[in-house]
Amino acid sequence: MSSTVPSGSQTLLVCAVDELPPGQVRKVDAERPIAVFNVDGVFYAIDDTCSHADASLSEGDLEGHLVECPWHVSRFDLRTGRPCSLPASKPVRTHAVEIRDGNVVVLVGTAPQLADGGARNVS
Amino acid sequence: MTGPFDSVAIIGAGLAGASAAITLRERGFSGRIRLIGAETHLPYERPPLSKDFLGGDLPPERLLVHPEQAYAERDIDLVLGGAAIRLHPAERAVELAGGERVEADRVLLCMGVRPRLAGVPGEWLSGVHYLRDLEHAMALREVIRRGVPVVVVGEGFIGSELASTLAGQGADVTLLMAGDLPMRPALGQEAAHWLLNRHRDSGVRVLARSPLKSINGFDRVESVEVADGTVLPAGAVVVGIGSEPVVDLAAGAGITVDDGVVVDSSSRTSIPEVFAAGDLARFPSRAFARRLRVEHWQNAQNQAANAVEAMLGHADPYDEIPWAWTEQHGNRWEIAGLPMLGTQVVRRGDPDGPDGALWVFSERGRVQGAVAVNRRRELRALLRALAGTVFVDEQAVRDESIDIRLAISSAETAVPAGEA
Repeated sequence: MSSTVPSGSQTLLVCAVDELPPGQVRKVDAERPIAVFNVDGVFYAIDDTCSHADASLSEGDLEGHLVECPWHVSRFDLRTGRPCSLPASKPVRTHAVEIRDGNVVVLVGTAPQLADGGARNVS
Repeated sequence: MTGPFDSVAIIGAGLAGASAAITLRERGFSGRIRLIGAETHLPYERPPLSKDFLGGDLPPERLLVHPEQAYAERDIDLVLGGAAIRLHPAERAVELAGGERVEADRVLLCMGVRPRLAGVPGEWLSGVHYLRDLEHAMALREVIRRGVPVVVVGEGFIGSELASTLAGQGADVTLLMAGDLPMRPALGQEAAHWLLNRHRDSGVRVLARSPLKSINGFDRVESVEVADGTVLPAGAVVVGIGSEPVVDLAAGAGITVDDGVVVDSSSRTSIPEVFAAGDLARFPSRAFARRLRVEHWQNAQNQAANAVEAMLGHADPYDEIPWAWTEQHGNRWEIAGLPMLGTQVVRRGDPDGPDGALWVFSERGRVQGAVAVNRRRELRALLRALAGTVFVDEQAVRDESIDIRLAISSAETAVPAGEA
């Protein structure tokens, strides 16, 4: 369930909005892979690799705005990237998400626009 | 300074000790922190010792809980290679081997457990191994390289993981079990039986009801004798027959011990300035209405962090639900709660199938624990639910089309079986 984008690009096309329904996640392969989540219609993008070990957070479990690492159970807040439980102590990066022409797009390295870090599909 | 004290000595520099030291600083304590370890290594992760590390070529640095600079940046004094030999709580001091005394207004004991010795003739021969420390694992890597036949004694976590890793390395490996099934208390009958078959499929020679009688050889191991008189050739023996909490220091200071250091839900021992956490601490679990001592990674990390928060006066009572994992023969197992407390077991899925299996253990309808092989998500859902009181609908557990979260119900809404 991952799509590939040209390396070096700072704008990543993830998928069409309706390909990423609420409660789902998509991993985007990039120089540093990114995980994009849909929480009740709001999209969030964070670095996919757990800041503790090398686990893929897109394989973790989503509960509310928290994603739980599949390896060591650290939980990260998708809105801030901050870990809420050990063993992770460093945050993961968060990235702005935009909806363009019905597609989910991640602006890598750009801080999220919304106060809660997400992007809504307003179309 | 946020604490009503100036110095903390953390004794035991494993995962628990490291977790405590870092957490203490992150929570704003500005006094002196000493992290005292008998080993010369920086705190490292033990789970890989019997798995990835033993079966691969990971350098030891990859095992570190934190890099060295993480301690320096937080002004944490590492006192490594120097065991604490005596506590002087009344004098607020800890005595180290060599006679040095360090000040400690508060002490946290995190020395964990030590392997139980074989206790049979020949146990001191060269070629008899245990697995607790990095040095043990390094020595066992050499054994694998030499390609000698290995006898693993004991069918618990360590013995079973070792058998798997050694077989994965192509070693000639025999697993001596005292009972009939590997990891039976942790996994339950059916899952343990499935694991037994995986051992056999992978070429492990498994002998049931075969406790070790003696280890034979002149200057080094040549064979072992089993209780029924069977003699097996062996170039190395690895003993994994359980462990004992390191309570000497606590007992010597007059602290209450009972198969571990007894603590309250703030991780406080019977001497109020002394706390204990991790493998050696016996704490009151409200969730299971009994005292527990948990020898797993998650408990070491989280109880130690909670203990220093309690020391600083702002922690919730420690009441974490046990969680553990193991990897054997390419299968990922996870265990939540205390499966051994449940006499009713219901299975969901098929351990041989692509989605794995989940076993839910209950007692009079109340869920006590769960075991999963290659089925992590549902296990994690149950782990979260176990923080409350939950009852099982066995029919719904079996039905994979029903969300597992709907197959259990909380105390408020459930009518326990037999009370309707």
